[in-house]
Amino acid sequence: MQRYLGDIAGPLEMGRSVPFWLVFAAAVAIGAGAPLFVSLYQLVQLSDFMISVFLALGLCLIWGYTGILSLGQSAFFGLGGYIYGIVGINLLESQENTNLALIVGLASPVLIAAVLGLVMFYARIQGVYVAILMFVFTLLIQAFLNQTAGEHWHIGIAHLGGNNGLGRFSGEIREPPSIAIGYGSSTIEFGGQTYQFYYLTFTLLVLTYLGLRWLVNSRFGHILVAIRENPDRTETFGYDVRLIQLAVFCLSALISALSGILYVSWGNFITPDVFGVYSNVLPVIWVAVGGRQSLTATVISTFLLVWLSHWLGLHGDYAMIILGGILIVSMMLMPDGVITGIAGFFARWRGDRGTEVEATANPEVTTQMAFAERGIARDQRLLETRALTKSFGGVQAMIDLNLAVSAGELRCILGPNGAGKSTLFRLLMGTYPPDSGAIIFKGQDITRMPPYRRAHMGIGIKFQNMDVYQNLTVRHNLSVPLQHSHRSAEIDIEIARLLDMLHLSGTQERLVSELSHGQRQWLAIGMAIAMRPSLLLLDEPTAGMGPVETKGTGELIKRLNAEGVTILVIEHDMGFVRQLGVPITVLHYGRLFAEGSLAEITDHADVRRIYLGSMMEGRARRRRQNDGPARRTALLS
Amino acid sequence: MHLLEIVFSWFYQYIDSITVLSLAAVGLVVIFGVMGVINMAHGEMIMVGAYVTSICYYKGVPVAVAIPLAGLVAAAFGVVLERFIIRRFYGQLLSSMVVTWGISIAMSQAALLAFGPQMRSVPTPFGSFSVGGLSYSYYRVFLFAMVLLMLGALWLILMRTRFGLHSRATMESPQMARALGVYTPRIYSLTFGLGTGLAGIAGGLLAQTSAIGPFLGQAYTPQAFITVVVGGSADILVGLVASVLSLGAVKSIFTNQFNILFGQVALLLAAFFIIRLMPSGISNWIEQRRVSVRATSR
Repeated sequence: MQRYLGDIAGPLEMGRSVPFWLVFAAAVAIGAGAPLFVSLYQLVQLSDFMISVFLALGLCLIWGYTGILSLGQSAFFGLGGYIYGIVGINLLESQENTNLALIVGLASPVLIAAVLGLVMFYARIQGVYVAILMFVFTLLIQAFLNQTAGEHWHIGIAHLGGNNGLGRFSGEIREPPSIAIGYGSSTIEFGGQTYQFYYLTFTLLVLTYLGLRWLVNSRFGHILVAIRENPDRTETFGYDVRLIQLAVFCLSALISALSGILYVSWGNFITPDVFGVYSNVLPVIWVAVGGRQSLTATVISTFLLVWLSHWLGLHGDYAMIILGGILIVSMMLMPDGVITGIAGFFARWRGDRGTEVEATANPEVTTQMAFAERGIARDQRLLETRALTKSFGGVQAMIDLNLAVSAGELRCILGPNGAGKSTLFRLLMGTYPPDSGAIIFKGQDITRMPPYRRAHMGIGIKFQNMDVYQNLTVRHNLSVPLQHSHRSAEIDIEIARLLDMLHLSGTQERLVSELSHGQRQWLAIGMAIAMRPSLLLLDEPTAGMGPVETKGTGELIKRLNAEGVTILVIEHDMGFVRQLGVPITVLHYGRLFAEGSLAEITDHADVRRIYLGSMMEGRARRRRQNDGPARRTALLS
Repeated sequence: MHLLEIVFSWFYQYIDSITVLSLAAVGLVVIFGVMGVINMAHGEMIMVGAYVTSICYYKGVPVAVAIPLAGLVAAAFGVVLERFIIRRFYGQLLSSMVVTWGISIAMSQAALLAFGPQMRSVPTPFGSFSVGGLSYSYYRVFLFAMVLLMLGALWLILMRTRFGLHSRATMESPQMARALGVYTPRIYSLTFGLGTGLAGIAGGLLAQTSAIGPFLGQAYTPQAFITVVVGGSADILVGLVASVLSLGAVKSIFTNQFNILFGQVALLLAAFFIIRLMPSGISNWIEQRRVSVRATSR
């Protein structure tokens, strides 16, 4: 199955079994043959239902797969429809086709989405803020269009028509045209109420569905899902998250605009209501009720719910109450969607745990990681910080830190809680910018560089908290850092090799949330290694590990170092530090406190005092709360 | 017209913008600002308050009784919603947003079916006064006073009562609050009810200024969110005041110079720039300045 369908039947979408594709083929056959056994009126209704599915698919892509919820998705539907209509009305008589109208109608919403996305995503505006801003955006367009009644509101010969919109309801003779593609005598018309239009919509829908399936299961799709789960972590694996979010946002705008153009072409009218609350809440209901993390579930539920509201619309005003009720109930009982839930039930009933692609480790592949030292020879300066300073509100987390690390070094960073160790790592990775000072890596000033570019330059990190993607499989987790430098064929081999090295063989199709604490820690380390960094930052790699695992971690770190990776390790476990037996840097109150070998550090009187004394000192500090800074300088002198 | 009269006219409109934004946001500042819950049905709580006031008024109940009653009904609504639906969605911002949106449309549609497309509005009391040939409503001035009163009461409830202490503690760390003997489920319900109750009172007050209908809430929900988000959550009352002062200025200036649509667009753009500059709201920004000033002066 996998062989014939490739990425289209990949793991990130339901439908990997033969029965699924048989049902799919049957559905396509019924769709293609529908004109034979339904009336033209029903066919026109079917066309309308399918137009809604496009809109739902666009929302499913950004919300379900990328984690961006837009409460104003219909804005692009409406913009596409209006712009297509306006251009079409103006050009139809002279050109006798809608070629240009189609292109402009598709391109303009994408352009508008690009501008909005640039402003939002590059300002790192996320989550509910995006949702609300898009909601306000669509309502403002509606408010604007509602007051465009009157003769003076026109673009070319197209009157905007206020509440009545474009089309026959505003008493205009010129209504937005149906799609007509081609030139001169070879122009094909797709009148909204015809068979041709039905087949056009149907074909586009099947292609869009399969195309999106392919996209979400491609390497790009895996990254989208990783962004949904944890955007910040994904950026540290070298992905320009903002650019990817922007691209997907534009793609979903394109699909919505296509939906809007088909809608105008179908009914030859459009009103400002398409920008209103109901037009925007409906796609959210379709996607949420079906299952936002599945394109297939979205298609099915949209069909069913649009049919339901059509039926309810013929029987009074209860549609929105019932749809709202369905949304509330399904969110409470099946938060991941009704269709997804049913599909999951069937999958369990059939005992289908997904097609396990168990790649075996190739023993011929050496453990040699081939960490290209990218122009830096051993013992040359790899990393340097100059007067690095960072404060959070009133807390000075890092003060004038000057640190130099040579290529090929392995060093432990120690210090009591709050010494600034994790802050140092986050500054090095670029999670937040320093207040002042500079970071030089491989001779280049990276102080203002975004995290994904630092990852490209060869900095890999394992943060203190276990920053694995809990809801994804082990395989998916490892594929995120691997996808940069590897071709698809190599990824499987590399994953198998890493799993073997991390003692995680056989877990690759399991969800990370099912792993033990220690296994997750191993995986987090493995993901950092998979980047093939030249500088590896490990923040408490052995937290939560037993003694055997800790020992294994120590051996792994030493082996990586022997292969040429420069490594900084933050660690509290003195046994582990002793096992590594490497030079130590001690931080205290955000300053460099001491440097030296393990023996030098353990004999260092001041170091003993800050570790042992921090408890007693804490008591003293509470007594004399105001002379904290004086106390600090005393310690340092 | 005298310069002074023009200035008064602007000032009056500024106060009016502040009043409307504050009334829209005063309940949400508790629900979103304190609890961190997105309630897209916030506008519908205002609608409930307006409807209760209108129904009571035409049954002969004095407005002074009807408005507190509106607050109680909306609070009861809020407690029920929290208990049965919203409680399941804590910590899931996007899901709570979607589910409350479902509540919102179901409520407005239900109001449409039950009471028709138009509700009789309550006549504006107190009459009017005129400055330089322009007439102004006393009731608007009264509304502003009510806003100050509501904010003061909210401050007292949150900062000076045992319930307020428990509520703030629960929102800060529910586990710790439970360990210290606070029955947190009740605190969640009551805090949510406090928020919707304030929205209900706001609805009762607003019912006397404009036409009311089932979709009244849709006009207020976005404004309320913008106001609260701009204000931030470090100190919700400082944030709300700073937010309505700045957004109200933008809104009244642009509404005055152009029209209501421009006022709304300007409001959105202003909110956008403020969020861009101060991502966690004005009050967090103020708080950070204060802390770092204190730190450097030490």
